[in-house]
Amino acid sequence: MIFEVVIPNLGATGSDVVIEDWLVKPGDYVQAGKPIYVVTTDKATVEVEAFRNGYVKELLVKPGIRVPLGTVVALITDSPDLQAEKIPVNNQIHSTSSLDVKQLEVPEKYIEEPFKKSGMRRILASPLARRMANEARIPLENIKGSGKQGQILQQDVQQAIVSQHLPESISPEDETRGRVRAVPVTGMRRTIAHRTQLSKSVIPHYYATISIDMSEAKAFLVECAAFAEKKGWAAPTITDLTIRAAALALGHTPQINASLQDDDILFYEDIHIGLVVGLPEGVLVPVIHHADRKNLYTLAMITSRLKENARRGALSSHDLIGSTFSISNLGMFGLDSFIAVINPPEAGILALGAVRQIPAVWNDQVVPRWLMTAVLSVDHRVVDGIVAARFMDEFKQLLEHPVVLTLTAPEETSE
Amino acid sequence: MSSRAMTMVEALRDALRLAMRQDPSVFVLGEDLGIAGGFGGGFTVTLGLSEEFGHERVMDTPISEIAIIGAAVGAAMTGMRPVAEMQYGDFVFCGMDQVINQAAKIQYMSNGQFSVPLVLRLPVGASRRGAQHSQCSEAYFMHTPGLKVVSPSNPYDAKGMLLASIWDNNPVIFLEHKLLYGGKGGRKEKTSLDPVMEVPDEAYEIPLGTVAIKRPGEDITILANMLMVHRALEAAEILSQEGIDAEVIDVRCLVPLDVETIELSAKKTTRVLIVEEDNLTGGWGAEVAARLAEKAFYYLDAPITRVAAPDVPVPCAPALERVYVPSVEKVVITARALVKG
Amino acid sequence: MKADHRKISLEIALEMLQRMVLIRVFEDRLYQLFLQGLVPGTLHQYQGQEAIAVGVCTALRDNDLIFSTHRPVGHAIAKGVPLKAIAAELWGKATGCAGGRGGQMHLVDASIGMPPSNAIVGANIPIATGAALGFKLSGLDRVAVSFFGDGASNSGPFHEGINLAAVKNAPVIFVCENNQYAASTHISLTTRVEAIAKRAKSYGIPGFSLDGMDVLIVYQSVEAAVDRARRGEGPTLLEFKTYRFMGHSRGDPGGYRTKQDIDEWRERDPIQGLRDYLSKEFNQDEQHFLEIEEQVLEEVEAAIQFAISSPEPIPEETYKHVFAS
Repeated sequence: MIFEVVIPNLGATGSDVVIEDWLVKPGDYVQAGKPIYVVTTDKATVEVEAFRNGYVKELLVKPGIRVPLGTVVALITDSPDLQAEKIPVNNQIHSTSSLDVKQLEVPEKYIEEPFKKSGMRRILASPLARRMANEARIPLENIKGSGKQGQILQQDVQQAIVSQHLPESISPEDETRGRVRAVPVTGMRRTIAHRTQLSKSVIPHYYATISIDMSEAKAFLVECAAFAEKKGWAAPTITDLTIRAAALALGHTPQINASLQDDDILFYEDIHIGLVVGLPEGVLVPVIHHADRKNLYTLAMITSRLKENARRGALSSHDLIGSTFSISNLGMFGLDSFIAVINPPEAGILALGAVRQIPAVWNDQVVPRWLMTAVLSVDHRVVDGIVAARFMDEFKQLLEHPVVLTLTAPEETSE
Repeated sequence: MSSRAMTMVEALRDALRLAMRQDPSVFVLGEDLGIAGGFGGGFTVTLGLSEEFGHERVMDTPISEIAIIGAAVGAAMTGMRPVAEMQYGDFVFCGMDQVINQAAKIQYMSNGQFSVPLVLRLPVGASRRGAQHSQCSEAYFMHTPGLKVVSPSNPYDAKGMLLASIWDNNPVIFLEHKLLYGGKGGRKEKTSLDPVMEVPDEAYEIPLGTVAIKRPGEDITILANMLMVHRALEAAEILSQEGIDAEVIDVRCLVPLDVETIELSAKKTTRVLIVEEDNLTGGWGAEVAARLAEKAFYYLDAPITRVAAPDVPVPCAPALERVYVPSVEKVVITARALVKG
Repeated sequence: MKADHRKISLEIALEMLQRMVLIRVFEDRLYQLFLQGLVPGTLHQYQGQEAIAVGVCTALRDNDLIFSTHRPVGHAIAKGVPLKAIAAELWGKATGCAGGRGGQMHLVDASIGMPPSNAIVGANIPIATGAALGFKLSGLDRVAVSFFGDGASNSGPFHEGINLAAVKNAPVIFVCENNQYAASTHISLTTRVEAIAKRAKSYGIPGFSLDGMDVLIVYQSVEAAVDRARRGEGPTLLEFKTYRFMGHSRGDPGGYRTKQDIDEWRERDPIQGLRDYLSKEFNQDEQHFLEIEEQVLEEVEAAIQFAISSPEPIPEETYKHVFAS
C-alpha cells in the first residue's frame, strides 16, 4: 500500500511553506516520529516527522519550492518493492522528470513610466480643489495639500485664498492680546466662514444704495392683514413685499439673475430667491422657488413655514438649494442700512435696513415719512452699474406703489 | 386620516389586503402562502389573506420557482396583477430565466403589445442562515433592462411602495430585508431592528423612482438602502458628535433611480459614501458611484467610496457574519477618513 | 385515435389546406432567398410539421393564446398573423409584427392571440400555465396552448409548468411537436420513454401520442382537449409525432440524419395527405389545388416584396418599450 506524505498545518498564519531540505531519499526506511523533511513557514523553520513506518518510494517536491499546506510531497510504501505502480496524485506539483513542459509566453510587465505631462511634477488634487484653484487663479504648485496622500483638498485652496490676503496669523497661545479661548470652527460656522471668505476673495463686489418710501406699503400691509385674517391666511410682512418686489424687478433686469461659471455667464430662466434667516448658531438661507410666480399670501405662507423650519432645524435639502438671488433683512434689529456679502454662485444680494420714520420731502414739504434704505451688492464681472441702478429703481417703484405687487401673477403655482 | 403602529410585515400585509380588495385582478402566489393554519408565507406576510380572499387568489404552489415566476408572467400577460413570493430571495436564482429572459424582455420584444405587470417579492439579507438564504441580490436586477427594483427600509415606505409596485405596469422586483420585518413570536428574527412606525390605515402610494433624505447634512452624503439605512443613521449620530454633519439618503428605489437628488446632494457636500449589504464587486453601489463620478466629478473633494460586504458568500457563524455585514463602526471610520482627507 | 371524418366540413378542410400550403410555400421561398444571402437574420423552418400548427390553431378562437417557440413561423401563419407582418419582421423592418424588435424567433400579434414566441426551450410552458390561470381567475372560458418540442420535454420548466397546471386545473393544452430531434440529438439519446405523452401520467393528466402528419387527427384531438379545458376539467398533454424536413436552423447541413430517413418521412407529407383526403371525400380536383397554390404564391411574393421595400426602424426606436407607462 502506498501512503501520501502531506504537509500538515504547522500553526503558521500564511498558507504557503517552503521545503528546505529532505532528510531521506527514495528507498530509505522511515520510522513514525522521526523527521523526514525540513520546512520554513512565515514564522519559523520546522522539522516534520513521518506519521507511519515505511519505505520512501518517491519525493515529489524539490527543495526550495513554495507549496500550499496540504500538498502531497512524498510517497511512502509499506513494501520495499520500488517497482510498484505509481498512483496518481491529486495536486499540481509533480516530479518533472518525464514531462517536457514548454515555457509559455509570459506577458510583459507593465512598466510605469515617469509622469510626462507638461514637464512638471505630478500634483494630486481633488477635482473640486482643482476647479476652485483654477477659478481663483492660484497655481496648484503654490498650494500645500493636507490630504493623506498629500493631495490638495477644498479646504487647502480656501486656505490659500485666504492667506493671500492675511498678513499675519494668530495662534491661540499668543497672549499679546490677553487671555484667549479657542473654539473649533465646525458645522454651520465653518460653512459660513468658508463661503464668505470665498465670496469676498473671488467676487469683485460693488454696491448701489437707494432710499425707499415705505409709507404706502405699510398702509397696504394693514389692509392685507385684515383680508388675511378673514380668510384665515398668514398675513404678508414687509419681507414678503420685498421678496415679491425683488422677484418682479429681476424679471425686469434679468442680467442680475445670473452667475459667472468659468468662461460663461449663466442666465437663470427661473427666479428662486434665498432669504437669509438668522439663527443662534449662524445663518441659513432657505429658498423660495419661483418667487415671481407666487402671490403675496402664498409668499407669506411659504416664508413663515421656512422660518419656522429653519428655527427647528427641519429644512429639507430641497429648501436649501437652488437660489439665484438673495435677500437679507436686518431691519428688525434697528440698523439704518448694511452691506451684505454675495452668496456664491449668485451675482447679487439685497440688504434691507429698518423701516423708520424720518423727515423727508413730500410734495415740496418736509414731513415725517416711513423710509427704508436698501443696498444691493453685485458681482461686477456679471452686472454693470446701469443694470444695478435699473434694478434698484424698479424695486423702489414697486414698493412705493404696492398695489402693483398684487397685479402681475400670470402663473400661480401652489407649493 | 387614521393610522396605527405597524411593523413592516403588517404594513406589507395591509398593502396586499387593500390591493386585493380594490381590484380582483390582484392575486398572490408562492409556497405556503394560504394554507389554513400555516405560516402565511416565508415570513408571515400573507397570514390571514386566504381567509378573506380564498385559496384561488391566495394560491399555494409546489416548490417550483420556475413555474411560480413563469405563471406570474403568463397571468400578467393576460391582464392580471400577480404578486409572487420567493420564500427566500436566494431561490429566485432557480427561476432566473423567467425573470431575466421572460418578464424583463416581453414588453420590449413584443413592441409594447404585451406588458408584464407583476411584482416579485424577495426576502433578503443576512440573518444567520448561511450563504443560500442570505443574499442581497439587487445588482442582478438593476443590471437587467425592463425590471424595476425597489428596496424599502421602513414600514411606511414598504406599504406605499408595494402598492405603487402592484399598480405599476412593469415587472417589479421588491426586496424585503428579513431583519426589518419586525415579525412577532415564532418568526421574530434575532438582532432585528423591529422598526415600528405610524402607518396610515388607508391606501396610499409612494411613487417609484424616488429616494428619501432621512437626515439632511452638509459634510458628507451617505447613500444606503434597507438595513444599511439604519446603520448609516446610527453612524451619522456618532459622527455629529465629532462635528461631522452627514446627509443620509435612503435609496429606496434603485430602478428607476432618482440620480438628480443624489447628484445635488453630492455637489453640496462634496463627499459621497455608499453603504450596501451586497457584495462589493458589481454591487448597486458601483453603478451609482460611476454615475456620480460622471455627473459630479468637478464638485468632489474626496473619492466616491463604498462600504459593502466583501466578495465572499454569506457566512453563517455570527462572528463571521459580523465581518460580512457592514457595521456602524466601519461606516464611521470610513466617513471620518473621507472628511478628514 | 383516428379522426372522425364525418365531423369535418369541406370548408374547414379547405381552410386548413390553404394555411398549410401557405406555410410550406413561404418557408420554401425563404430558404431559397436565404441561400442567396438575402435574409438578414436566422431561420428555423417548419416544413413537414404544418399539420400541427394548422390543426391546433383551427381548433382555437382568436382570443385563445398560443405560446410558441424559436420555430414560430408556422404557428404565426396558422393563428392568423398577417403574412406581410411576419415577412417584414424577418427582414428586421419597422413594419414587422414586432417593429423589427423581435426578429424571427419572437413573432407576436396581440390582436389574434399570439404573445411573443419564446427562444428559451421549455420556458413558455409555465407561462402558458400562468395565462390559463389568469383566465380561470377572471372567470373567462379562454384557453392557452403551449407549443414545445421533444427537447423541451426534458427541461425544468416542462416539469414545473405542467405539474402546476395539473394541480391547479388550468385550462391549458400542452402540445409537444415530437420531430425526433433536439437540434442534432436524436430523442433516443435523451429520453428513455418512447412516447413523451406517457409522462402525463406522472402529473395525473391525460396524455395522448398521435400522428402529427395527419391534420385531421390533430384538429379533432385538440378540439377535444380544448373542450375539456373550457369545461374546467384541466390540462391535456398532446404529443404529435412529426418530422422536420429541413435542418434545425439556417446553415444546418443535417449530417446527423440519413437521406433514407428524410425520404421516408417525406412520403407522409401532411399536405399531400390532406389533398388525398379532399379528393377522396369531397371530390376536390387538381385544378382547385393548383388555384390554391397560385394564390398562395402570389401572396408570398407580395409579402416578401413588402418586407424588402419596407423602411427600417429609426434609431430612436431602440429606447422605446423597455417599460410600459
